[in-house]
Amino acid sequence: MIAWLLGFAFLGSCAAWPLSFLFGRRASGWLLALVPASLFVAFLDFVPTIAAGRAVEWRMTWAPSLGVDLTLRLDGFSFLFALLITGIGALVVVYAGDYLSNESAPSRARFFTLILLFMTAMLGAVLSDNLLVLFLFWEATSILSFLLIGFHADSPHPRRAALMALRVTAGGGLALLAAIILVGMSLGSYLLTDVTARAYELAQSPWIVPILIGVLIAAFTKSAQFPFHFWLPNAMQAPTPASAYLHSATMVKLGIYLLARFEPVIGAAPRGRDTLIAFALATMLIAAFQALRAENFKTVLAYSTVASLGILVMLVGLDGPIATVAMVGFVLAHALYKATLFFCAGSVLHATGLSKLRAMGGLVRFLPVTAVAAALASLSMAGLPPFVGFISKEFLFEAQIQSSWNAVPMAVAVLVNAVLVAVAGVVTLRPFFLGRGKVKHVKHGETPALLVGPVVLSLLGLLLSLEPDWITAAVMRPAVAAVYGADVALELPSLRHGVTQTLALSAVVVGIGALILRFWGPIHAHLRSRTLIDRYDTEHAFEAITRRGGRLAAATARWVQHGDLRKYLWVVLASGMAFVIWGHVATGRWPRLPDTLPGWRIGPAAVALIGIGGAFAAVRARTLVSTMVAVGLTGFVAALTFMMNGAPDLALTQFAVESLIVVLLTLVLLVLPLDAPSTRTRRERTLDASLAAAFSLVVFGVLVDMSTTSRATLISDFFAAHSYVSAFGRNVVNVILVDFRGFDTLGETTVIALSAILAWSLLGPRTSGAGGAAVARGRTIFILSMTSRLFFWLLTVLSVLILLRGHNQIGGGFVGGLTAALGFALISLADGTDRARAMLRVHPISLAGGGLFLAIASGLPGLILHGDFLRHLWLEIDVFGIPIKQGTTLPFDLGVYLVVLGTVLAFLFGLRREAAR
Amino acid sequence: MIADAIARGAAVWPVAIPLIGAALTLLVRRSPRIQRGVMEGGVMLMLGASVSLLVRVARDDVAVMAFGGWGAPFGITFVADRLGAALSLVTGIVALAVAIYARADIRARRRKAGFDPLFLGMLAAVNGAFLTGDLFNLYVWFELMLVAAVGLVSLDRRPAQIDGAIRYAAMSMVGASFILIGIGLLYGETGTLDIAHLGVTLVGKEPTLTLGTSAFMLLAGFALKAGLFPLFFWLPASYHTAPISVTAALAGLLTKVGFYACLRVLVVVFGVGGKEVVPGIPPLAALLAAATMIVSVLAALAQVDIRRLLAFHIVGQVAYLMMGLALASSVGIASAIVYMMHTMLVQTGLFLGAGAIARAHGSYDLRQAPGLVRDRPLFTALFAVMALSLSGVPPLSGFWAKFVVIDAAFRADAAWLAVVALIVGFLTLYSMSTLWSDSFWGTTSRQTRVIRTIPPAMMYAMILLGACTIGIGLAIDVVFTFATDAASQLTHPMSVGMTR
Repeated sequence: MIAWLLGFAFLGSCAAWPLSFLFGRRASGWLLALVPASLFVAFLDFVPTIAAGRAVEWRMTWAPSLGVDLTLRLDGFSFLFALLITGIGALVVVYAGDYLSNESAPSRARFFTLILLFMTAMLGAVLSDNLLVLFLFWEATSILSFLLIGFHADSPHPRRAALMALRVTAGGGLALLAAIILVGMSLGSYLLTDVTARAYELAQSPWIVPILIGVLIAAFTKSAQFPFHFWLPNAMQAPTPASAYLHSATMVKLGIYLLARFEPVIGAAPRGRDTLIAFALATMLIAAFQALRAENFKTVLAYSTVASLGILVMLVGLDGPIATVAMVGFVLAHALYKATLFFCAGSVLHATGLSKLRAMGGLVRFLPVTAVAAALASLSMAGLPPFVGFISKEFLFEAQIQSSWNAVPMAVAVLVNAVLVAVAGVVTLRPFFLGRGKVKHVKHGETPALLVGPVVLSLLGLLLSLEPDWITAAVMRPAVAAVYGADVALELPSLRHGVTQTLALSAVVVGIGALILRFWGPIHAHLRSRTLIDRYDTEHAFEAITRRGGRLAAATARWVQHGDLRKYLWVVLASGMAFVIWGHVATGRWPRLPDTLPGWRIGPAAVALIGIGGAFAAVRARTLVSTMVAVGLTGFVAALTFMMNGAPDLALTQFAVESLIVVLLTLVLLVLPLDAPSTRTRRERTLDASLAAAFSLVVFGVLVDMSTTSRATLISDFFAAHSYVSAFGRNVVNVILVDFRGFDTLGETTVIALSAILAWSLLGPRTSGAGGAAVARGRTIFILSMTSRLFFWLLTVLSVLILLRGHNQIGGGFVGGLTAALGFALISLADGTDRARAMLRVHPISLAGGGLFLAIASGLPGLILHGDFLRHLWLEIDVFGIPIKQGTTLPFDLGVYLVVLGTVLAFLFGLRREAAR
Repeated sequence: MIADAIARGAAVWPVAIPLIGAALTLLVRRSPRIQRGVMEGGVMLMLGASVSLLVRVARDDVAVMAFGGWGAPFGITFVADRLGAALSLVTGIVALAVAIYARADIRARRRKAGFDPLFLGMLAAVNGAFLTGDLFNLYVWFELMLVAAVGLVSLDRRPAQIDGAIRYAAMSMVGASFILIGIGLLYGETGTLDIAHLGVTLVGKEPTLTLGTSAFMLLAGFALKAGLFPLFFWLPASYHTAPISVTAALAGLLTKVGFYACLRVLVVVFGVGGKEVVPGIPPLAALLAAATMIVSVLAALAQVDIRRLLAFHIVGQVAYLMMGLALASSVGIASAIVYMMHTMLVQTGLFLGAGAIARAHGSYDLRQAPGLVRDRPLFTALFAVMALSLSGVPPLSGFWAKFVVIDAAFRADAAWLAVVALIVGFLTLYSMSTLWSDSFWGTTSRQTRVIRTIPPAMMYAMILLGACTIGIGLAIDVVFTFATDAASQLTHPMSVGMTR
């Protein structure tokens, strides 16, 4: 049932957008108010259950693996909040309908959607029994509050206020999340009912201190307690209906709600109550002080709200049943009178466009009903009989008398309540009854929609006090029982009891309050001139932290975004080094040394020496040409090494690659200045050299270490044994490439094919290639041109041969492709690129694409017949009596051949055009 | 027979389909329209293949393909376990969103420059990395990713793009060298390249210097690919230069593959989260994660270009993944898996949203892009979903991802890491709220500035990803259970080895 209500609220808020367009300016407020109003009525249905002290529960599995279920629970305390949320919600929506009459239709639609969504979130928060679900709704209220404060986002003030509110409350939200996780770890359950029932167990948890810190931060940020109180007065930039709803009646009480639910835990934990009361008293004093200094109507109300929230926190902190009674009573009383006063402030704002109290006066002439409502609410706020405020204040003092605390909270409460009395007086007398003639005319008068809210709520503040039986039995008593854990007999205070201690305290409060009211002007002026508090206010600290953080962020960004590639590379390499050294320290091993040194071999040593020489020469080289030669040297040394270790295929490939690189780089060098002066300072060179030296030292040590392991030759033995037997190829390297590890080759082939696109698109003609081609043709050399044809055909035939015999002898698709490309390179150098392209007929990219397609397709027959991709199939045919064994390795290798050819040509032609430009 | 072949090739199709597509788009290069059709068809088929692979893996635990019929450890095998199959599916969704979005963003000129084959090639590489069971094969896919990404970044041939591509290529190659050294050492020590076989071989082995160096070289290489501090410079230096569709795809996929490789190799081969072969990996990973989170979120706060801002958030999000791994517990690994699925979708969505903002305003500069709330309410709502998900607001996927990873940190006695994660989560929200306030609130003060319409294709792409983040949030039970199974499959490689 309650889940249905929540679902209805959500659907209602979703429908608000279209409906508000449909029903226009006048009717949509009234109509949409039906959503909260019907919810209010539906909740009233639960009165018998709640009054009997039972709770309504509903559960749906959501994420059992995480211990999160949608568990809703409506008990007395939730019931009180649900009624406030839906009841005041309905009035707020009605009110907003006329308050926003100046706004455009989409703006109003947005407001209604947001405010109803907020109502849904609030309902969800107070109905959730699972803490994570509660957190979900808790965060939703923060975000909706952000959006509502920033509703008038055209001007910077609401934006700043919204950001501040979000940052404070969302920060608190994360603290709550941490606390919830720790509760889950401690109890193995996220249920609020378990927190209450097993409070003592939770208090014994090793995590109790972080849990309480998290809960307190969450509650203090949400309920605007010191040191996070500053966001609430700023949040008054929200449209007034939102302020009335979120920032006085409901959302800010969510923190109180949480504290009340955790009260058994706080009480059981050491110094839990003391902490609460200390922060509450600080909040009350600061808020009272600031309320006296504030100038704006809404700001005064906001600070009085902060003070009231402080009182509520204090009441949660005080022990004894009466404290709970007082807390519950004050939640109700405060919601009724403060929402009324906000409504009235909104009507004044709407009517006059003024926000400063000083500028207002005599509005009773224009807004008579509003003035009366404000007066009633103020009397309740001042705690005068026979209003609800009086009853709650009596309980407040009663709770303090009965608690085990000393007189400090009492004294602070008296003082702060006195200030609240004065505030109540000021916000009614100043704008409405004093200073006649200050306001000459108003833009908007009273309308029914603007009056329903204040009138209903202010009258309720009177009626509930005169006829307290129903509300006591149906709402207050179950609420107290739900929080306190046991039924508490309520005896309402009354003037009939004669002068009691609490009555005397009330009288003192009203007396001091009247005095402050009398001298409001001078007190206000004097306090405003004192700016010291602004400098030491936490808002100031928040701003300062934000500024410092901004500077730190900017410095961090400069530090990591300097844009110097060489420094980046240095850091990256050095980090890799550091990782390895960390690993060495963690492993704690020295290199294993071989038992016997292998014999001295002159050949490999000489080759290695040449390679080292090449590497050094490359580093010392001053021009690009010498660098290229030096690097080429190391490449050839690598090829020689392959050859000496029984991999002639690799050597051949390496040689071909090196040759092609020389050709391609020469083309690049044609368009680059040959001289490349060193740009490194001496220090940078030293740093680079030491990094390189360190790195090679580490690698050398590790290689020595690795060489001592008994050769693990499982795989290579298998390759050697099966190459011909199972894969029908005598050339093991080629069989590895096309068969054993053919899939690697396929991947690399794709790499090559894609680099063809890269080359083509980067080097390709930017406007048209015609001019470049003409220049290229102009450089034709006659002799070369004559002989190139011959060489071209020779190379082409050779490449095909290399391709075909690859499986058994040295060769293969890769080398074949490179050889064929050399032929075209010759033509291109001799007769120009156009000639070479004409002879190729096909676009190099298409060649690469076709090759890639062929290579992949050659893997499909094996998949279809045997279920293994790239399983090669063999066919033996007799050609002129000679049996020739051929398989799908051929199309695979042919694909590689084509891709390599296409890609090299893409580079070649591109570079030629680039050079010709 | 064909149907049978299709079924038996389940593990290979998510790679083979985009590869074939790439080859075909190369052949039909002259017609951008046909190219687009081939690309979109390929993406759709690939997504379908990933779905059927996931269904199969959920049933059989693992789908294996031994290429050429040479079983492990002699040939290369694809071993699609739960983790790989799920990530392949997420890749498919990201690819679909980008393909839809590209209709509005990638015009004929960019298609002629090779967007389609490069994009498909990248997808093949990403799926290959997720599915392969062979360490060297993994390296091959990294190489393919690198080439495709460099090509995609420099698609427009603007000097800034080429500059970015060079930075990207240069630093990535250093990372590739690290990986190659690591693989070489590992092969030299054990004589095998099969990941599961390596894990089995190394169980109970003494940590030699070679193994230690190999592990940390691989960690360095993969951390570079994943974009972890202090190896992440390539990412913010290059991502913002690419066309936004490309940036979105790279953001969603590439760094995650880097992290995935970390996860796969460190857990399966080096026993992180179980019996560790080489000591000292989790503490270093934790340091990296924490440092990356802090540095990246601070750097993000100082950005005014939406793309640069989001680029730093990518880095920060990867750090959360690393945090899950650093906890070295199966819950931590499961949380990293959940986080990975979430962040792939949301990072892509955010970049797509940034592109739409730029389309509406003509600029990526936050200070010049106000007022979208009023004029583009639907887009605003879509972007809000992404931004809130990134900030970790419930019930979106981002919340659960953060929740499980922080929960795992507390449970693994790494409270300090959890606190860092929470604070960084706060700063992420801080950054997102600034972005919101700057580009969605405020008014277009100058009358001359018109807010242009956002093409429907862009909206559809964002709707797809938005639905995913909401869907994961609501169906978190399924996702988390799956991730837990995937994690236990990862930490118990024997069960996979047996099925071969």
